Amino acid sequence: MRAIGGRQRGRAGQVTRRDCLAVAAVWTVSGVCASAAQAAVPHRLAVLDWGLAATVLSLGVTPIAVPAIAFYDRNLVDPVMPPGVVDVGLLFTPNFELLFELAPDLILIPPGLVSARSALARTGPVAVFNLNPFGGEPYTQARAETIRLAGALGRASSATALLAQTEVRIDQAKASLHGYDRRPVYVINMLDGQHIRIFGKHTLYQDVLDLMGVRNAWSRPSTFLPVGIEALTEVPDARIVIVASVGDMTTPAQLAASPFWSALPSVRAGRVHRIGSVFPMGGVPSAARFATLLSAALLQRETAHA
Amino acid sequence: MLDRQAVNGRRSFPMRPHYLALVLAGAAAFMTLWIVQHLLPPAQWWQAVFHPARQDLAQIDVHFAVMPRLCLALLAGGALGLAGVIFQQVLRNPMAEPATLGVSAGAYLALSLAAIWLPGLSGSSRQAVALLGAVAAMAIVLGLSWRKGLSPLALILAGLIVGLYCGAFNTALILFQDKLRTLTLWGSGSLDGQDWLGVRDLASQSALVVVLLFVLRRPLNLLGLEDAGASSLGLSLQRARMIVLALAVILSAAVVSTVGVISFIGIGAPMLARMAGARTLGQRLLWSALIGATLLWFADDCLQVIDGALHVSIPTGAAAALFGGPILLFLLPRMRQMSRPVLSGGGRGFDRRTRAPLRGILVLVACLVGAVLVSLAFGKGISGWQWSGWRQMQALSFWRGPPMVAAAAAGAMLAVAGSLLQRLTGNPMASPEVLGVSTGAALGVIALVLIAPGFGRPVQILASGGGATVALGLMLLWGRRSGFAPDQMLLGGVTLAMAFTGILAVLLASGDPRMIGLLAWISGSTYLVRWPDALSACLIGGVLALAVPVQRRWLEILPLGDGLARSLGTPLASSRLAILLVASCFTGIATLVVGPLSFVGLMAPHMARSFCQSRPLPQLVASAILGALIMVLANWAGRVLLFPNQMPAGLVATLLGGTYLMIQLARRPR
Repeated sequence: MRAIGGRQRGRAGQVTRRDCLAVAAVWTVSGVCASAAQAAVPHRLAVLDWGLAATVLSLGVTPIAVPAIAFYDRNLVDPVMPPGVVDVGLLFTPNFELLFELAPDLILIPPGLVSARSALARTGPVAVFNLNPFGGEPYTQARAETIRLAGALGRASSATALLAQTEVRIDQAKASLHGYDRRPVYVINMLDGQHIRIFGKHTLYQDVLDLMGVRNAWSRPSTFLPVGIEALTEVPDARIVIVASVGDMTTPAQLAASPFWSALPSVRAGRVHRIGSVFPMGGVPSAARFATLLSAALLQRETAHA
Repeated sequence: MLDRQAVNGRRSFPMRPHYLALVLAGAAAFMTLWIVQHLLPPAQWWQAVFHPARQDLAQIDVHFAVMPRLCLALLAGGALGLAGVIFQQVLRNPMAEPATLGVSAGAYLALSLAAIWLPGLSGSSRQAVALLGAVAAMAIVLGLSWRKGLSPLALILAGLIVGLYCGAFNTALILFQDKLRTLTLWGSGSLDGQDWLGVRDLASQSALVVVLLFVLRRPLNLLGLEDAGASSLGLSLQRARMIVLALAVILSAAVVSTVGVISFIGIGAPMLARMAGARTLGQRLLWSALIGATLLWFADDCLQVIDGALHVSIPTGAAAALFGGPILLFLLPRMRQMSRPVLSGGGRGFDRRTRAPLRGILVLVACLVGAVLVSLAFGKGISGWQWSGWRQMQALSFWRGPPMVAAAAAGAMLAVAGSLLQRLTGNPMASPEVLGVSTGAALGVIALVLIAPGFGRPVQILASGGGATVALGLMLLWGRRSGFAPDQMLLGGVTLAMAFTGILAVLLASGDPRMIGLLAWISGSTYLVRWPDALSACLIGGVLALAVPVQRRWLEILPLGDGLARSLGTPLASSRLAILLVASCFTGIATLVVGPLSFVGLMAPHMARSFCQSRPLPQLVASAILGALIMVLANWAGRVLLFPNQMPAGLVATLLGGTYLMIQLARRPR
């Protein structure tokens, strides 16, 4: 109730609207899910996480505010963020004053922002969604959270469609690989020519690889910590899939000049594939994007070799 | 001479420099052999080192990765050890090292800017950029302290300001440019994945400097004396200092541009050499270089073993302090106190005006009131800049008030803590974070972020408070043996802080998005502060402040040196402990509220001297107000400058305060 009291002391012009919103706030905070959803469907959404923002866009809802939109554009690429969405600052420090002024009727946050929850609650009702469990299966979790999220937005049917569509895309990707030589793949981000980030268990990529029936050459759980490129020698007959990332400080020419990189069996045999940026914490839309890009890359080389 | 022998005789830890170097080299060689033997059977070693088979991955690994890495560790360690001795000799401060004059920060910043504007930079052109940055930073430092005759104190202050400034600028860039995060790998010194080209460059550059050093050994020796002594022996101080410093800068810039920022060796190797019994300058140079080389080799080997076991790649620079630090911390209490810098003897930093203290303080208070008003009423929204009226201000004060109050309180507390420490230690480089309190607090929060991500504000405060208490407890336990001798506390704290910076660099390089939020907190953010935090900080700070006037006699006597203090009947250990405790509490509370920030605690005391006489109480009061003023302004600027993005107040404080101090240093002649 404190939140409402605070709002009434706000600027004169907005008092009435804010009061209406406050009622909605109580509704949504008390239970974002099913029961309240029909009564007041929020449509002024502030989405303070890029994976959640991509999911919301895929459900056919345009948020009013998202943090660091330039970063979203570089890393998530698809679905495209429409113009007119307000940039509310950096990912973990969204601008409270700006959010207060925008008066969203629902604020979606990842667990990382829970420490700011009480402050955010003063700008609008807050709901927490977690697309990236630690040690769990991100794809399964993202699907469940997408359904929960769609429920809160009164878009249950969109969620069913989105999930079905994603399954179809992954199945298509899998089907297109029927002639694939079954070599395992390393999925990596290149960092500086000597270091890579390597994706293993409990990542979105791993889940999609499993669904596509492609074996991951890296069988360990993945940390976010950088790994030396010598890690790529463990499975010599693997393919290397380099997922583009903004942190990549190298050019292909520089890599080619590196004696160690050139000596890797996979590199010598030309089994290196580059695909566009896929956000590893991007939820269901990123899973579909990864499946499509990966199958296209693997397929292209296959035909080229044949 | 007699005195020196007496010192030697009383050392409780009988050691010779070559013991230490041999032990380190032996351990490192053992590990290297162990690592190589896992890669390749001994029969192929010779071939792998000299003519590797292009198809054999293991041989390629040994030839293009293991061997250059080993050579680079030895070369970089040696060069940094050497440079450290020169810096400490010229600046007459045991805490001086390559980073003190902003060399590494300058190189790092230059590389970050290059990564934004000239992406795809490689090999030698990257080295050139880093070298350029290092030399530019050094040139600015020399320019700023030129009019003060390049006196050690002026050089140190200018160096610290430029270094902090470049560092803050760089952190700000990393916050806003996601692609720069990869650069933190370089920024923490990675020896792996280098090739022979780097070895060749570093070897030739170091050899050149060593030859020149040999030529300049006489002036270098004299620079360790007090200014008057050195001048009377016919030395042109300014010119000698500049030439010798330039050599040390070239040496450290060569290392930085080849392998990145490697901390600790530059400060730890000279210290270890000294503790092991190297006395004359020649001995110190030789043994510091050798100990530096073997120490980095040892640290790097430890790291490779861990990397291999955990399948990660931790930057060597980050690990140097982690593995070298414990050795230093173990040896420090076992040695006699070394020569200590004298606050007044190093020449002037900021000129002191003999203004009436009261007037200076009144001016500061007026500025503070103005800053508070602007900070509450003036800001940016969707429709641009706006002055808020009274009613609007009341609504907005929920967002603007607590961060501002917390920033002011934290600034004041850190400034007081810094003043206390600088008086206690007599070292102008002392700042609150050397107490280990902020390091502990930050580690507590990092552990929390890694272990249990979704946590609330109270848990965060609990974690950082717990970390701070544990760290302080350990530091005090460790310092008890030496009666809390200032130099040891400082060096111990610096070592801890360096190890922490290493850990932070590793986490940042990990690219884990949670870490960027952490970086904001570590840079001193008032973002999450609300009224309960802000008000309790003020309250506790106010109560603590009552303890300061009680200590004012000690604060006047302790900087004069142990002998004088003892003869005036000051209980050394207990007075030091009392001051340390008060300073730690101030630092701890401030860190809990806004995160660890170093600039205000380091610089506000120096700035206060230019406003008031240097008596303890007026200086403390002026420092507190200045600290509050800087932080209030920084908090406001961080909120509006890059709207809607918010810059951590600690960063902005460094950028704003740094600019002001650089102007001050450059403008006023002696």
